[in-house]
Amino acid sequence: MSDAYTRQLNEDLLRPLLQTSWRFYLLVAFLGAIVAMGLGTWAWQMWNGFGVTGINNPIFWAFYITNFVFWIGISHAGTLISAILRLVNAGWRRPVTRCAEVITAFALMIGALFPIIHLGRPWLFFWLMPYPSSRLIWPNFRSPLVWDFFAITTYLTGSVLFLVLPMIPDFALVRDKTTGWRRRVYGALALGWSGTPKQWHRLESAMSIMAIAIIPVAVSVHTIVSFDFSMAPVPMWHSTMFGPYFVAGAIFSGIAGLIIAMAALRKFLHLEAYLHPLHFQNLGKLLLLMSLLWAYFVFAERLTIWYGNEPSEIVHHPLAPAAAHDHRLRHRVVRRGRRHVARALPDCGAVARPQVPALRLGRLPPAAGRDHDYDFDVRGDDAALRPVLEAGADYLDLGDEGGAASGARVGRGAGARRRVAGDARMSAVYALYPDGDSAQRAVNGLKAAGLSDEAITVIAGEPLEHHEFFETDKSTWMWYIASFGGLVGLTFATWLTRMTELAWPITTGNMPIVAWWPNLIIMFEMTMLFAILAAVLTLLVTAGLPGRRSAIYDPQVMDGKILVGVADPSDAAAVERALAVAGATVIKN
Amino acid sequence: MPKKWGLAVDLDRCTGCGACVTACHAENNIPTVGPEQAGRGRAMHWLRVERYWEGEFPDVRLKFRPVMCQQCEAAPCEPVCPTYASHHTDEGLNAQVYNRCIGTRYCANACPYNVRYFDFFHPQWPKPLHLQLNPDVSVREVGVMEKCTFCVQRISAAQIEAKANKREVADGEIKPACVQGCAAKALVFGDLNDPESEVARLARQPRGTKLLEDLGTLPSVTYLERQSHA
Repeated sequence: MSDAYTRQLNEDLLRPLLQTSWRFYLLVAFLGAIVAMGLGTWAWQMWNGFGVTGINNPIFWAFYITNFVFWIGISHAGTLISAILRLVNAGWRRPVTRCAEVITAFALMIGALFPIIHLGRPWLFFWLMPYPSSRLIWPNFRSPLVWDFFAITTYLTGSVLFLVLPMIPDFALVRDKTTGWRRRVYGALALGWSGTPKQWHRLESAMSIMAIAIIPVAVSVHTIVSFDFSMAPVPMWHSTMFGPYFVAGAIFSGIAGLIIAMAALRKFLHLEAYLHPLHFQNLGKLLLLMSLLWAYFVFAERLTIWYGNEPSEIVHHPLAPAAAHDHRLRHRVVRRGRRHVARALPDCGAVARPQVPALRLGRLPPAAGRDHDYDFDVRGDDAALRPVLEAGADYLDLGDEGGAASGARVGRGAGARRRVAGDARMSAVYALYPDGDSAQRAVNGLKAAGLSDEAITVIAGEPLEHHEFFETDKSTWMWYIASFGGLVGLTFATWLTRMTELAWPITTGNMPIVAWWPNLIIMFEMTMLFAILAAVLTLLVTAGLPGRRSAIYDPQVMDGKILVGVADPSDAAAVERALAVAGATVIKN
Repeated sequence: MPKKWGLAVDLDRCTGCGACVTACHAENNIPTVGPEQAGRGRAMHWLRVERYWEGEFPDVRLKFRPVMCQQCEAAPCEPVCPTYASHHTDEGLNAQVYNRCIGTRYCANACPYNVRYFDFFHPQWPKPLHLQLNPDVSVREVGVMEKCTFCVQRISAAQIEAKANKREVADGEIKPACVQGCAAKALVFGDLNDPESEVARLARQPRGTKLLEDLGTLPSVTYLERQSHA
């Protein structure tokens, strides 16, 4: 672990950010063309009516909802896995997490698009939001689609924050390593991050809180997606196992998506040195586990249906005896058993089953030659959209939370003479140290010289463990504040749902006006959302973000140096002596 | 006592002529979709007549069952709607507010009777059907869900008329278009909460059945099952 190694690391990871080959622009143009085509066909669909999609009575949901379920499932790759690995403190997760979190954020954005594309009048999608409007009516909290809205909002907010917060130190790294407009843009994104122990500790606390909060939210999101299906009294959909079934499928497909994305990144960005076979092996084990779980659910579903032999359900069973169809027709069970296609592909396209024709109810001959032309375009859209978004995002993919660079940034050598940026009149004395031990000696020396903890500035490019001087400012109220935020969210949601239902006492489906079972879902989501927001707010306020960078700063901390210094020392010579004794070239200003 | 509107369908009387379907189209401004879309199964009949062949040839017989919105008491279509477009009225009707509908089509998924129809294309009334548009019924935009309302415009009109004359609505005074159009008098409409009304009397008959009763949707439409073997 040398200075040279750290520099090499930064260079490797920054390369795609600073150099863009023509292939990238070609890829963006190609995928962008597909996106444009998708937008065009969407406009065509809105202009002419939904009929152009080929969706037809009685199967009112089809590929848009399948895509929705698929992409929301893919989004479970990232934040969920990243959070679990963070909680169990799996060291190998570091190069994986940023990629996983990026997949989550963008897959969610794509997934959330589909229910809107799917609407008959998509320009009115915002009617799902409770807001004071001229319509004088608020949404129906008993509807699973409103649960979806709240769950996805919470999950998307949490996932984006989970992605962006640990990226702030990396933005600071780019800020220090670049010039020109990049320096300004990343400087703004870095929110004035310096890397003081306090900032690192607050970031760590916020990430732990979010990791804990995001796991139940992720589980709830796909459970609610499954509720879209299982709340309706439709044969095969109306199932109590759909929640876990969908969640297992989501994580399964999510890991698969992650492995594919990592393989592509490794190959095209030449990250062989950072994404090792070990990472693929470990993710492969997770994939195997989830596939077994998925297989178990599939078996449980098939066996129950087959054994139960209920007429409306058995006709959908792949092993259904031909007699089941006759049996059903003879008894004139008018219950439709259809939607088989949309439901058979909740998460995993591989488990395709032969489509059982929908019962026609003796009205019209089965539809022939549906115009599926538009299916292709809009379906292709999302697949094209994601790499575009991700290609952009990968440029920010710099050693997650300093993780890929973990241990590598500890450099050797001495500091350099620098002027404190920004304020020429301020006097400050600081030194750079190659490792934690010498920095510790410097801090001890300063304390011996009579300086208080507050007077000493410590800055590092990564969080340091096992060093006393880095243990300052560790205690925080953040956990309590987050819990309190959750309580506020719970109270707010309780009020929101109850007030809405009492203000618009509209009966639906013979349910009580204040329907607590559905309201609990909204209350859960708002609790989690507010807890996450409270934690993030605490982080920003206590870590001074956005704010001015620390008065003493040296970009060399990004190469693994540790800065120890004193601003406005009363006795500069004594400070200088203390710093020099610890083994650094003293910089004086 | 609030009204609870209901319908009784005597399957012994139904000849499957389809007059109710035509009357429904005329009354409720139901758009036509053209032969091509109808061939694809997109025809919009708020009320449809289902045919069932029973028995083996040559001993076969045909049974008709007019199916319209069953105006369920515990309707699966209502709670799933995010915008309250589909909801329950005080008079037991399963209302559909077209202006609130954003076209999620969730209600149609949840409906076990397949009686909800989606405007897949811009509605059209080829000449001379445009002259037949009923000013009492709003026309629906592309992308919304529509369905049988028990001719709520006629119910309201009769109630307003009765209120203006300071009297109650008489049994049999309100006739939805299908009831009015049925030559065989197979359809009877009225207030189920009035035990003396004809529809309540018919609904109490041992022949009375509900469609998919085991789903617990509590439909307001009663089918009087066939007895004759003609």
